Amino acid sequence: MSLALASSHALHPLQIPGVWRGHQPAEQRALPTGYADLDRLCPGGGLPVGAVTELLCERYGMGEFGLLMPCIARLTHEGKRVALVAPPYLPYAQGLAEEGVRLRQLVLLNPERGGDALWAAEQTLRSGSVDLVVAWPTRVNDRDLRRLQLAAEAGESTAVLYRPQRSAGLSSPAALRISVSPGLSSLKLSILKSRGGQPRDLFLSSRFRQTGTGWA
Amino acid sequence: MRLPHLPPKGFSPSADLAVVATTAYRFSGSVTFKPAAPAPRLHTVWLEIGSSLRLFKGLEPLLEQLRTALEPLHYSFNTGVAPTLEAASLLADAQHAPVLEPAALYPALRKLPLQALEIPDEALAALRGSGLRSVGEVLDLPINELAMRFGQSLPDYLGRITGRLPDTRKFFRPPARYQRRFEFDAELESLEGLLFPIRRLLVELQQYLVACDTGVREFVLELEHAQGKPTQLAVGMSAASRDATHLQLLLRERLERTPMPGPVRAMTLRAERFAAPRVMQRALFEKRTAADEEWEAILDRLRIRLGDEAVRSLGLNDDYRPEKSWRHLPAMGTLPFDSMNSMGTLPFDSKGSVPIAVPIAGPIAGAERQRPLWLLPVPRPLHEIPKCLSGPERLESGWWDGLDAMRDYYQAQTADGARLWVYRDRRNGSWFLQGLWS
Repeated sequence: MSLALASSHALHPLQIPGVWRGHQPAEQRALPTGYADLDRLCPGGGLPVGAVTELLCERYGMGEFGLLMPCIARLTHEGKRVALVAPPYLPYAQGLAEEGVRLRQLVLLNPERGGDALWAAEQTLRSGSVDLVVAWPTRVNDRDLRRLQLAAEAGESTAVLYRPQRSAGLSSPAALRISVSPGLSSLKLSILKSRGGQPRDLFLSSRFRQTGTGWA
Repeated sequence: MRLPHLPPKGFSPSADLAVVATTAYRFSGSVTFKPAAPAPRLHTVWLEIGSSLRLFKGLEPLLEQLRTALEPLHYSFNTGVAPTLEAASLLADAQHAPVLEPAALYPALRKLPLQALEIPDEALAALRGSGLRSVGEVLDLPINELAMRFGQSLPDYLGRITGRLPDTRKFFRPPARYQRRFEFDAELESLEGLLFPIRRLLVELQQYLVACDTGVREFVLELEHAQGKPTQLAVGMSAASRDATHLQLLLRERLERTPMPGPVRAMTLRAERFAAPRVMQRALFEKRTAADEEWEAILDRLRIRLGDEAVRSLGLNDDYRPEKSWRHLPAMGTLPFDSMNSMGTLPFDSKGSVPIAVPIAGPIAGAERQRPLWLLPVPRPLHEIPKCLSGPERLESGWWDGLDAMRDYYQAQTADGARLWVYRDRRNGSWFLQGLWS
């Protein structure tokens, strides 16, 4: 029996996953955050699909998770799946339901070991069956970020990572990096990096939120 | 089909034949087999293929598919096709071209050498001593004379070859439970050493499942050690599967995370819970997408590596006490999502209790959320009175189960901008942190 091997031709640099193009073409898909002011400053108009977004915050409990609620509520209502990997506290079902999240489309992954959180995030991203993977890794290095970036590309899914403020100074392959800090009766967002856009600051308060509820 | 030897060592020949027979069962509803009595003889598996020819669009495609199906089991074999079982064996040994018509059988058999016959050596020597050289010459002898000289079994055997007498073997049916044991020549210490025989067992299981037209929901691999209890690895799946590669992936994850008390000397694969696999359900649930199937596969992998306890979903409980107003649910595969109605009603939970309606309308415009997004697993005592922004919200409940609560809830703020969900226990005045507004 003869065996035929398909000829392999070199990929054009633009076809190689992970190669960043200087000018991101307009077809960057994104998940709108539900905050028009924020979406305007994000690549593709929201959390970029097939890429990693970093949310840098010093502590939990000041609006950093609520920032994703309109997006998570919408996705779960469209029948999409959202994974929460290693959240720092129990995601409170009553609060999520109030936000309109369809709980059954949400999967909680609570690995006992820190390394498994990155593994779980990578697997779910790569599988292409989960649209948004939100992870609170205890430690993440540049190599981990690249792996997650490749997994998000492969699965055409969106990764959101919560990281401490101090990682703002480190380089990152993330397409979008936003520093989140509490402002006076609002949330201060500093866009540190937005693929194809300019860094700038933004204050979000309940008035800007399209879906209506206040910060809580 | 004739199999000269059955590698690898470690299996029993009849169990080996049952595996081949199970595989053959896909190609014919009537399969039977015979292990060779003394070692160098050939093992035999027969398939009635007359009624399968149409389904497989002819003899050659059928044989080709049979070879392909047996390939992963690594047996060597010859095939022979004839109108009778015994003749098919002889033609397989002779590597004779297929004989489909009864009229063509006799001429084909005639030319075979005498030693092709499966008869005792003494009988063979006596026939050869009488100057006989071919099967045809033996077939031409009068039946009565043969019976007198060699006993009734020889003419009966010849009768089954030519079809003069019926062959009344029992047909094989795949067993309702699957079990297969493998003994190693030497004890195995490494995971890598186990993987090859495991692969083989799973390929056989796949053949069995295909033959029975089903899939497996749960299987157990038992590893036996020289001392101590065997190690049991149970693998359950969110959807039935018969894909050896998928099963292997799951088993490997589990193996890597299971400590072994010692080297492995034997292993047994067992499967009892069967269900129609995804490929068959797909026809029933056309809405299922590739993403759904990916989801089931990834869910299995997550459960295997992280444990069921680490892979969950959330549900609501009808209880005013925050710590009891929610619960963990097992993360769901895809089917329950499909069967959910548009009102957002939950399917039955694992305990089969009444479905609970989840409010799915979006947040009420202009209203502040009543509950935070983060909850502490256990309320944490606060040593100083927090700076409260709003409240109280009075909560009294739970007297019926002895875990009664009399609490006033407040929103509080820390100096660094975090907002807390705290309560004062009205019975003793102490403060607790129960959640974080986020």
